Amino acid sequence: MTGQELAPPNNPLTRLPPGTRSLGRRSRKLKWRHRMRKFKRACLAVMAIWVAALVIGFVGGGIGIGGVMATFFTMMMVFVALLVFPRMRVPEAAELRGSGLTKLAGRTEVFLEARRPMLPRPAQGLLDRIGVELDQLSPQLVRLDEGDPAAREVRRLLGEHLPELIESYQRIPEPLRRQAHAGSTPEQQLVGGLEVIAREIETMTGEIARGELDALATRGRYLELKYVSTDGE
Amino acid sequence: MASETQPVALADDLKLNAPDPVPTVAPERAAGLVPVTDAVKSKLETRVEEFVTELVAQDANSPEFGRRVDQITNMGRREIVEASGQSNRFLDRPVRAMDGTSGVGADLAELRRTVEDLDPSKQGNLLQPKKLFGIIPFGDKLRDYFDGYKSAQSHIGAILARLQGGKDELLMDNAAIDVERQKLWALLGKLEQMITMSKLLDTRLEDRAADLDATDPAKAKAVRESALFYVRQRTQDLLTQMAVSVQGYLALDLVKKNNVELIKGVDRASTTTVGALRTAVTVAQALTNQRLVLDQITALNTTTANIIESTGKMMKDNTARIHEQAAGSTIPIETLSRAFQNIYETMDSIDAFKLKALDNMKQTVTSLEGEITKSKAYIARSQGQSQASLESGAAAGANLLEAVD
Repeated sequence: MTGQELAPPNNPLTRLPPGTRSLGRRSRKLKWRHRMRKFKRACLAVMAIWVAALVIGFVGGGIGIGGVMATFFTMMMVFVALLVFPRMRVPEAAELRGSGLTKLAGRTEVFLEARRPMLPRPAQGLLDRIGVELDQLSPQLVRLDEGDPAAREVRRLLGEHLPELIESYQRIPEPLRRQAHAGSTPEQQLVGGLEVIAREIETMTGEIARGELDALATRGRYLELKYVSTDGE
Repeated sequence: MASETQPVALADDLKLNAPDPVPTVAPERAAGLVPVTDAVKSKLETRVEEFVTELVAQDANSPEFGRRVDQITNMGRREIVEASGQSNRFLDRPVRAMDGTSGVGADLAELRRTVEDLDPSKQGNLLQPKKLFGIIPFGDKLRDYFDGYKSAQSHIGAILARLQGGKDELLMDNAAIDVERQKLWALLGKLEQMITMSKLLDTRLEDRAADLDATDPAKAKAVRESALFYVRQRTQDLLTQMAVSVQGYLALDLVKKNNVELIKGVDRASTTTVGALRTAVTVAQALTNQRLVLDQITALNTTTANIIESTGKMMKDNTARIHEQAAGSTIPIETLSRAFQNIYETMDSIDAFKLKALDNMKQTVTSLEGEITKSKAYIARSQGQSQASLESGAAAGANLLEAVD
């Protein structure tokens, strides 16, 4: 089963196919969590079937060898089915806008992963770069306050500009994507836009980290002023 | 000043100078304050040359030409936005240290009130025997007076400790200012580069347009009306921001100098207070043979090396003298009064300094605020452009009009 079969190019994915390459650590973590949840659910279901069989056997005076086999088979089927389904949902653009700062980077990565196979090769490379940048941005976002102007900017960039760029490219019919329009081809426009976004994420990471950098520099200078020079200058 | 009160005079005069207010920097004088090295300059020249050649090679009506003109309107955008962010940030700094109702100011006022209660000159004649109803001899006025120290010492100790905390805060402020100034300096260098670049662009475009007048008048017109127009507008924006940032840079220094003076004042106030208390200890010993134990103050001494050093020196001179004079008992009391006088003088000079400094600071802030308001229009414009460039993805690709790192 490949991504192409599940979703034709013009139809964005709603579920993440198994084995999709992770763009970054954040999405890997989200996927791992999703898998653990499925595993837990599968275990619980198996337990429930077992208990049900036990109760039925107790009340009805045994379920017989056929019953045991059926129970065992059902347990297996349910376990496997629950391990595979439900597939991880790919967040939609609107959801990205609404998600909390802590999960924003990871969800964006999942969003990009689902769309990666449908984009031209140079854009795929840029998505990988954006994944790396998002991994760096993510720990900074956790410390950021929701009301911070920087948070608003990040949300605008990841929740609006990025998905809109990719979706508007995907809305263009396949044959037209390589024909020049307004000076360059849609493919080139997509790549150009992604480049700007990748650079902007990097800038934002630096911007947010600047507060920490300043704090450290100030602390160092303070220690110098207090304990090294005596006149406070 | 302190030197007039002889026996308990401090080694050096305390003179707190309020630094002068920062003058308004006119945009046309803002350029050239931060040096641009020749190497950087020649690099900028090559970039400008390349840009102008590419621009002139385009058809004046083509979108490609327009795209390059857009690059001009975007020139130095990042630098301007960054610098404006910094200019706004130090405006809230000055008020903090000078605030009379909290921090150092409040602690100094409280110290003064507490110390005034102990002043021997406000106690009447301490040597007069104390009498009940004015007739029956009862207790010892001097002994009661020195007992007052014991009850006041923990309070004074607490205030002095708070003052040290306040001093640390001022030092922290100065450290932050140092860091900010360092960053601002780097930013000023970038702005200067952009100004150099836009001025170079101006002359090069002017020359090129003059050359084109003969061969291609239409293109010459386009170069003058679009490219050159935006270059000049941009130069003005950059110069305005430069003026604000330079002024801010100087204002930060003003705040720092004020803090340094205030730190000196706080140190001196602590020193004179501890000095007076230790004089009291000596005088009590000499006059009433009473051992006045001021543990809190002694404990404070060990934590603030600065205070030990200066008061220690002062005390060495005084102790011997007081014991010499103990026979004529009015002299030690006078010595103690002078020690208190010393505290008042220090505090008065701090107050005078604060008044002057506050005035200078207000002047600086007012002129700075005026400049910032002026530059805000430019910043709004450049921010609008940044949004536009992001949305259209037009900023992608190599941009020649950027500062050299």
